[in-house]
Amino acid sequence: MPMNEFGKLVPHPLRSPREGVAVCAGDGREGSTARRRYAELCVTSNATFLTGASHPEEYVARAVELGYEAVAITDLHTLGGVVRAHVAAKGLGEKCATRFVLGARVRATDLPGVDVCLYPTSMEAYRGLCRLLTVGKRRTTKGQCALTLQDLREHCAGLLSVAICPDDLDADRLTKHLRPLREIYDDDRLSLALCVRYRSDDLDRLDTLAEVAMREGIAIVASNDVHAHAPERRMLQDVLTCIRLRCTLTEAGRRLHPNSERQLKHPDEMARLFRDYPRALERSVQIAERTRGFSLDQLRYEYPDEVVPTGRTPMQHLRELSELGARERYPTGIPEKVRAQIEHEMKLIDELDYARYFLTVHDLVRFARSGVEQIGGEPIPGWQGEILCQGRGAAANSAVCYCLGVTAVDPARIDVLFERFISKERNEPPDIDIDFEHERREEVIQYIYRKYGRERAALTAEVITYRPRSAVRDVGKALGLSLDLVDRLAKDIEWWDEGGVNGVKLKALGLNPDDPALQWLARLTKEILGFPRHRSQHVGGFVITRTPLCELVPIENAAMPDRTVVEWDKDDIDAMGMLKVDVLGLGMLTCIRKALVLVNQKRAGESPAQPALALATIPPEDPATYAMIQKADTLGVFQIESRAQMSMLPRLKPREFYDLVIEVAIVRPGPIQGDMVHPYLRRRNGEEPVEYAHPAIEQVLKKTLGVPLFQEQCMALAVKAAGFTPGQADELRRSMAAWKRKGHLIHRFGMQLIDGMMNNGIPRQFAERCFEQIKGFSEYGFPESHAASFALLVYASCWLKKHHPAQFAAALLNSQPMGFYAPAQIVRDVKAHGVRVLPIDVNRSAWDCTIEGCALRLGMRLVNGLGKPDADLIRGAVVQRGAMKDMTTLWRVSGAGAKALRRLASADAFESMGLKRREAIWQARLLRDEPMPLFEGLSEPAPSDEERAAIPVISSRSAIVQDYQTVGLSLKGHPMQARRDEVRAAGAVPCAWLGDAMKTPDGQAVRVAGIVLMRQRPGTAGGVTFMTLEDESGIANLIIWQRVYQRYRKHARTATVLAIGRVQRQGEVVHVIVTKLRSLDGVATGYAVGAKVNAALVRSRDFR
Amino acid sequence: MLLTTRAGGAERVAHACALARREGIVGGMTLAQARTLLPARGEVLIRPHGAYDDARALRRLALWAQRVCPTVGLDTPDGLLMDITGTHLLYPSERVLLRSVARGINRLGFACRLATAPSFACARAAARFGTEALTVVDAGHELGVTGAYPVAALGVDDRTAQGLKELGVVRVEQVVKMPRSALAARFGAEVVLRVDRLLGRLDERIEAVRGREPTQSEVRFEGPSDRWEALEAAGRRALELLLSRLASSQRGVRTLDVLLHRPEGERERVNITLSRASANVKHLWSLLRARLARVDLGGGHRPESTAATGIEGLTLTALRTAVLRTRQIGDARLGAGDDRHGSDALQDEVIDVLVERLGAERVRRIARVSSHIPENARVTVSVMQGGALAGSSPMGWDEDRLPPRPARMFDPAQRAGVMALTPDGPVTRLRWNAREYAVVACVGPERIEAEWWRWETPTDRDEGRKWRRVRRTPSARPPARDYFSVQIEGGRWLWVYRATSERKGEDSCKSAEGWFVHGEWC
Repeated sequence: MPMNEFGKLVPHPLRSPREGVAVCAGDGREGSTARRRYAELCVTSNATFLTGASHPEEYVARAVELGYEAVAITDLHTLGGVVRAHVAAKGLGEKCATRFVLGARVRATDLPGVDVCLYPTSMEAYRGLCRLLTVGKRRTTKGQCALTLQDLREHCAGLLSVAICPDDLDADRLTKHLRPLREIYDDDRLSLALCVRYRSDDLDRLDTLAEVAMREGIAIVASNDVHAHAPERRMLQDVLTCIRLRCTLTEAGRRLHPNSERQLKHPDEMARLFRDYPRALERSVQIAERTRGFSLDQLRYEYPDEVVPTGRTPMQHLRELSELGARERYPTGIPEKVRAQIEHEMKLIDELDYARYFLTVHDLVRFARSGVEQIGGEPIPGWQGEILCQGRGAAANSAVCYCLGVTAVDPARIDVLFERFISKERNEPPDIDIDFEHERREEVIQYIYRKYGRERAALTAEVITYRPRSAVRDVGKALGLSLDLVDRLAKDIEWWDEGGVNGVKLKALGLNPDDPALQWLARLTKEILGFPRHRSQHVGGFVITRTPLCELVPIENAAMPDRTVVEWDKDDIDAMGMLKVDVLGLGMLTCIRKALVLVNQKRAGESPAQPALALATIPPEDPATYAMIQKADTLGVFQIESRAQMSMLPRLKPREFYDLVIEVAIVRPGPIQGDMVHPYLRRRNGEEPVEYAHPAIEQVLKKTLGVPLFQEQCMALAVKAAGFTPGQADELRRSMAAWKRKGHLIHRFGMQLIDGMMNNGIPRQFAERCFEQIKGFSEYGFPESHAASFALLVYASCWLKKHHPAQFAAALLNSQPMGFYAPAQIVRDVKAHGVRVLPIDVNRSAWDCTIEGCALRLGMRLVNGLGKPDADLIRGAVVQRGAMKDMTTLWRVSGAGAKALRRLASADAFESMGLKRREAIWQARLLRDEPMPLFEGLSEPAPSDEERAAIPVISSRSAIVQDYQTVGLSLKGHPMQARRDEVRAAGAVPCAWLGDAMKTPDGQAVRVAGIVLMRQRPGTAGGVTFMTLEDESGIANLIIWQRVYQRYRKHARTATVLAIGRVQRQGEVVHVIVTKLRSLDGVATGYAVGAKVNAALVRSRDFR
Repeated sequence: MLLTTRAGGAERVAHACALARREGIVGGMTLAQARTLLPARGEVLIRPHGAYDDARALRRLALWAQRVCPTVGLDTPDGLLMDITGTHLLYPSERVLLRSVARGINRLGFACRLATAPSFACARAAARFGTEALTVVDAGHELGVTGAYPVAALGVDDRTAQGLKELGVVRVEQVVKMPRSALAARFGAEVVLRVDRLLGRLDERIEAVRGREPTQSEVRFEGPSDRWEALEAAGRRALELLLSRLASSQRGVRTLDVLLHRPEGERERVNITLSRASANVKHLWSLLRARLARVDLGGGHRPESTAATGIEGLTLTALRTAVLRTRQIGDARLGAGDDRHGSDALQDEVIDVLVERLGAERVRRIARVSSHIPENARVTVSVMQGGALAGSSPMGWDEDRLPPRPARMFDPAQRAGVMALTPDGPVTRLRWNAREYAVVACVGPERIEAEWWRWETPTDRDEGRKWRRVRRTPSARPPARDYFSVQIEGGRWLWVYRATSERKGEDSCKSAEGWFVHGEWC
């Protein structure tokens, strides 16, 4: 089986279009003169989830191998597998004699048991088929399809049909079942499938079927009702059945197939099985012939028209818009370089007819900016002002996109190689993702639905496929392994690799590697990888068409209400050349907009004449901002706020915008795995000469000092230094994105890459590192164009943090949850920058955090469990009536719920009424939402009337603890403060000491204590756990080796720990290498058990 | 060991053993969290928590506790409340009483914490929150002992306790000191009520657990008798008495316990279990009589026995009973007059007699298992075993679609010689049992492949037996059998198959491993 070397991990054919060519060439079929002609028409692929046991491509390849006339893919109620099969068949080229026939299998609810396979004979018929499936799917819930005979009747034009009847029907019932179908599919369009099942009654059954068919005037057709491309898939088939039925193999019993005969068989074998019915074989070929009128190639995707005003061509309109935009962007005149670039791009766009695509993207951006539906119209009602957005992705960083306002990356500042992403060779639409503010993305989505209608716009599907972990889990369950064992195996996936069982690792888990069950598990896990499991919706990929979309591809309901999803995923959509716009949400955009609003309020207060600040008008290349970045004072800003990023900043010392682009790209699995980080840093700091192994390399890598950091550079290297064609380089890029999931392919490229580079005199070591890096890109491929777009937001957020720390912190708090840090750290950081932070108070706070003078007033949104409506009622009342004197008045005037006031009391928000926290709680407890008719008219029981209750005085420590519980932070102090004595007694020093090289020199033994802010175990770090502790003085970064972590994991999981270890200093980066850990939670005060309280202290961010 | 419950989407730890608790696992944790705390290599038992079984066990314990005092109530999920008013006078002190109860409970295999107090609420608080395992609270000292306990000791719900905690009120004494009306206005009357109960200001009633006394009947002689006739008559009378007592509740006997009283307080016990509940005197007596006949009545047969001879009487106890199933008399499908009730009951009684004579394991019925492999598709199980079979599909399968199978199956299948024209074509001649037959008719093949996950494969030696369980690594394609229904001259229909070994490619199935006769239609 030459085909099957990698048969288990079949990538999308688009990713490997040349696969299978070798198969077509072989076989020598021309030699055999008396070749049997056969076409298999009923084939269930794995697009019928958990039922078919082979990929569509495998069927096509196998059919070619066996010399079929044609092979169809007929999945139950879906066209999900046809694109892949089509692409695979196309990849085989013109010479190939086997045709691919598109089809679908349907069931009518009023004709139970009978399956009907439908095949379109023309484009019109295909539209009908799509409509039929859409009708059935939209009628019911996600993943289901409900059709009736009436539906089949309404959408029958141009469709051929093959009926597959249940095996146990007698002649009468068979006749009854077939008659309605024959009426629908008249003109000899209906055939009855004869299948040899290898059951004892095969002969009788075929006789009955043939007889009834003859009597009713229906043609018979041979079929095998195929569920797998080869008999070797029987085991996987059984396992899939078990997964579908949620049982184990032993429980499944007779629900499994008794044998593995439902596979693609050799035409000779089919001829032998159907020797008594030669016409059935002929008929299969005839049907295949009759479908020649249709191929997916005829599918013409058309861009929507709306975006072009009447009377103009799309190209004219695009030129006008970009001219307009360019003049705005460059008020002093367009630089020559940019003008030339625009001209160049326009030519390409015109040639490839992508003008409407750019106009569509522009239209979305225009809407987000203005809220105006039609050009020249009014903003939609309830419009809350501009939604910040930014384009990203390959084609986004073009001069045209800059002029259209899609991106803000000035083409003058960064190299743009447009054709790299819009290639003439592959007729594929360009790729632009647009990030919108995450809180307001829905508005844009609704705009799309309004503008194009649900008929013409839908979300792209995302087919969830088996990854090693999920595969082990499901296969293990089906094999009947205990849940506990399955869990363990799935968790420590290291025992498994693509070759099979890794005996050593398995032994380490305490298991026997020779256990056949585990051998099966390993083998089947490998087979099932890449199999689709279910369909989900893509995060934001929209398909928009000119003609009704449901005539191009079936549409189904998503799990979310009011969302509709097409059946094809991103790769299918690409392959069919359809337009897709990714509408994504990005939290930092929300934050930046909110910060800008606050900043503009302040500026308006200072001098009304100042123009409003916007993302595009933030002063560029501000030295103060870079100085801040170099100090790694970047808590809360975009991207460069993680610990890894922060530790890189003092070493990289960004000085200009392009340094930020590098910074964003460098702390990624790609460069780290390729071991490119340190060489780059050394070269940058002048510790190592910048040299190039080959002149071609210099050209590509000059910007990054001879070290490849970006995805594009690796591609360019492949072309310039390893002799790839641009097309191959593009394939390389695509296989990068998916090798973990389904890719042996990249290894083939790897050999080619390394050999090619060595032929050009490049050292092997460098070449291998390049390849490692390319593999590393697979997880988060990070091209320069993305990095540039992100770097812009990095700069903007840093600038805001530097110059308007209060506003930035307020915006950050108002955009939670996002980023790495909890409100407590944000507040702590802003206080450290000299901003006064005021507590939440019912008479002062709004829902959001606000700016009071120069101080930051916390908003009620931080109060746990408080809803926005109640907060707004309270704020409204206070704004209208002025500050309230007591709680009861506030309650009655505002109409807020008693529960809300209780929450606020717990959060200590009644200071301005002179109520301490516990007094406030005591009072708030008295409020009742339900009306109490008995007491109506009586005055509220004033607190003074009551017997004074002896409320215990709160200690400062429990006040802080309660603050953390109710607000998530405390302005009164740090939880560790109250325990300083205790901690000092344990020998711990304040965390801030670590910053001082005098107090804690490199290598010094040290003890620090604090609450755990986060634990991280990055996949790239080889089992090392990073932990960050915080006490009242600062933070301490811990490094815990796996051995130590295992030993002290019980302590490591608690909220407050004492770490004992050694200081490690590398420049300004300080770590504590931990040798021992101790939990401090055991220390209980009174009956408040420490662990419980501390668990509520921080929402520590675990293992992200 | 961990017991887990599934709540919402997550599996949570319900209870953890002492060892697990030492690792920091507490109830309420998610199982995933608990796992991270467990040592990597340790053996951990994780079982679902049976809350229902717990409740039953607690009830049984309550019934046991009735030996201490008549009124025992439940403090769910894991406590008992006992009204020892009066009882305590039987012991020198309450502490002695507690010790003796603790001993008894420990002997049953349970750990316990006990307390006595003037009020139930106080005892409950002291038992659950006291510092020692045994606590005695004297009248008037309620507050003194429980005052330092956390608020939860009052038995208020978590939300109230949380609310009080927010005010800094964490101990019982703090609650007691608060103004009552103000407290009630804020936290509801329940809190005040609880305080009153704790301090004994308010009576608390408990609902006593009542066990169902098993129905019994007893016949006593005036003195020991070693005559079989006397025992027979007494047995019969006792049985009739028992059944008449059961009749009012429409119940029948499933397990009958017979207690024979011997002189000097010796006892002998006999048990009878039925396949189905019965109230038929004749039937039960036939079983009971057979049992009694084996009883040693003494009279010099056992000279070495020190026991006095004869018996003084017997007690019958219906240990397990069940509601008698009312059955349809006459079956509509079979027409009127056919009394299935009679025949069914007769069948049950025959089974009971057989079980009584041969033992439950030896009387078996045939049960079907959902499997393609013919010899695995049926198993025999004890007639006493009801319900679904392990390994059979819970959903059942469509019986209409069962392929035809012969009534008689050979175990092991018998080797045969066969002549066939094409690989899976019809059989033409058959050599079997040292004779050669011409084949008149042949239907097939039906292809059945081995259940690959059992790693079974036929070898030369054991083909013809079951597909034996052989440990082996995954192979390309499981072995298969092609079955044919064959009519030989003389009209007998045989079920023959050809075994093929593991097949690798498309056509290698031609290499047959042999032919076997597996069954016969008779």
